[in-house]
Amino acid sequence: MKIKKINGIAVFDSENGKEPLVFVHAFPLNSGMWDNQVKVFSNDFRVITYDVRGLGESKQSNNQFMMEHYADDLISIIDELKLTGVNAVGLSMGGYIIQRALLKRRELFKSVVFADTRLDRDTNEGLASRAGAINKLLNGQREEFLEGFLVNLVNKKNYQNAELVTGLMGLMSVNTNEGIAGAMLTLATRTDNTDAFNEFDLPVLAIVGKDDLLIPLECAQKIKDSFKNSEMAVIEDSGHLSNLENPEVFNKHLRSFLEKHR
Amino acid sequence: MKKSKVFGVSVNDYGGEGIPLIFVHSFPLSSRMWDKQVKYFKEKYRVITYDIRGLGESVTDDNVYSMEKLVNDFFHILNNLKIQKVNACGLSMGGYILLRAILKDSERFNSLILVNTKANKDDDDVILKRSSAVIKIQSGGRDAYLQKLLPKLISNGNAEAEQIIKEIIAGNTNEGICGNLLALSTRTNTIERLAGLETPLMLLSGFEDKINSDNETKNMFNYLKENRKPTAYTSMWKMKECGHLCNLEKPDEFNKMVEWFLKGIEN
Repeated sequence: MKIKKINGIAVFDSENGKEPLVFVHAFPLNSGMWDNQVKVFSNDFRVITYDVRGLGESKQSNNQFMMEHYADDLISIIDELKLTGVNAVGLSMGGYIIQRALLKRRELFKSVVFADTRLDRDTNEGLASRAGAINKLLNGQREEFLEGFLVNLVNKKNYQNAELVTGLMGLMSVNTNEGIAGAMLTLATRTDNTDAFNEFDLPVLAIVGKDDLLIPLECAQKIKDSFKNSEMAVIEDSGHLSNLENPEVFNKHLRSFLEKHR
Repeated sequence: MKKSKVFGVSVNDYGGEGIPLIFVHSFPLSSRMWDKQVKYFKEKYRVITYDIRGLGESVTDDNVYSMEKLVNDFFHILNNLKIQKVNACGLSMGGYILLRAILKDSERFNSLILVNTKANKDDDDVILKRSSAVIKIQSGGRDAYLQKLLPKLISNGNAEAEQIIKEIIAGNTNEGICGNLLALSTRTNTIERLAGLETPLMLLSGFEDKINSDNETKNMFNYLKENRKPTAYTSMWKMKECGHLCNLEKPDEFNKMVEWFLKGIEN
């Protein structure tokens, strides 16, 4: 993978001239969460991952962003690398980013995989609870916040998997408090895309971990129902991070979806 | 006047007896927008004003915060000044803060005055407008952004009000302005739960408000009239030839209405 900086964003590109496959990561992780997918797919796709603004190696001095910044970053990466017919895969926050980018520039995308994500906005309670989380982060309770968050990221059984949990802690550990707080607030600035995609006919795969505690199964069903040309896959033995908790099955579904539309 | 800092937020307490009257300012100004109210009310009430986090003298280093944080600041101020109950008046963003605050703890409110504010959260169009404002300011377009905003804040031809607003805004940083744009995007819907409260309410609106149309206030008023208990007092006053910042454009009328309302609920 070659590392490039595009508008302050760290982009990792396999540069093999094949069909582009872009992965967008979840909160509060970084592009490293896609290692299992990068390994498997970079033989026959031009795989691109990047660290979302403020996180990983895309640290910024000012962390005041809105979802629109994130969408513009994805678009400028695609434009800068002159990618056409992009297959995009986003998990959770990554899915929100792809939704906005798709609404702004639908012609850039060939197909989209939405994993463990949703179309609607934060509820009132959700909006209110973000303040407490940001406070914790910026007032010396980082560990408490991250541990509390991690419990909900994977399913109960996988939470006992020391290797997986240590790996996740590692992905979080490179992020600064300010970067995480900035991303946390950005998540609250989403639009409600529930009815935004009814006319879209690009192929869409909605993936969800069977035991996802953060985003329930119905949300994947709503994505499937919202797009005309869509399918859905439920990943067994998995919580919110389906690509990390059950990579074999996740990759199998991703592979068959991509091949079908190749 | 006694100045204090509460978790970085700059508070002005003009002192006095009785239930205090606290004013919460609008975006992207500071407590200075209430100067004419302070002058009028400080002999009659214990007047309190403060600069919202990030603005005025409350320049803070935590540049990412949500509406909830601004609401918590409000309660921290009351607690710090050992105030149990207040009469509170908020204009626009100030009103949003007070709307969330009264839903969290209505016991702290003797009455609530909402000026050119609304109880619905941002819809998608507004969020996208806020996003482009943040992006514009961050990429060197502060002046262009403010030049477009300014005429919307007041009705045509009020040079004195315009000058005051310009001076106040000039004192605010880009980070403070963007921080508040972010916080504004995280508002919640408040009207249903507001209707369930019995706190005396007054809604004030400027006929020529270009930011928050006069209809918003009328709709709010009608909803509250229909859904509040008959004993819960709700009044509305519309100010003619007046834009978003009624208190600056028509201070005499504004002050009289606020005073009339406060006197009314005492009896």
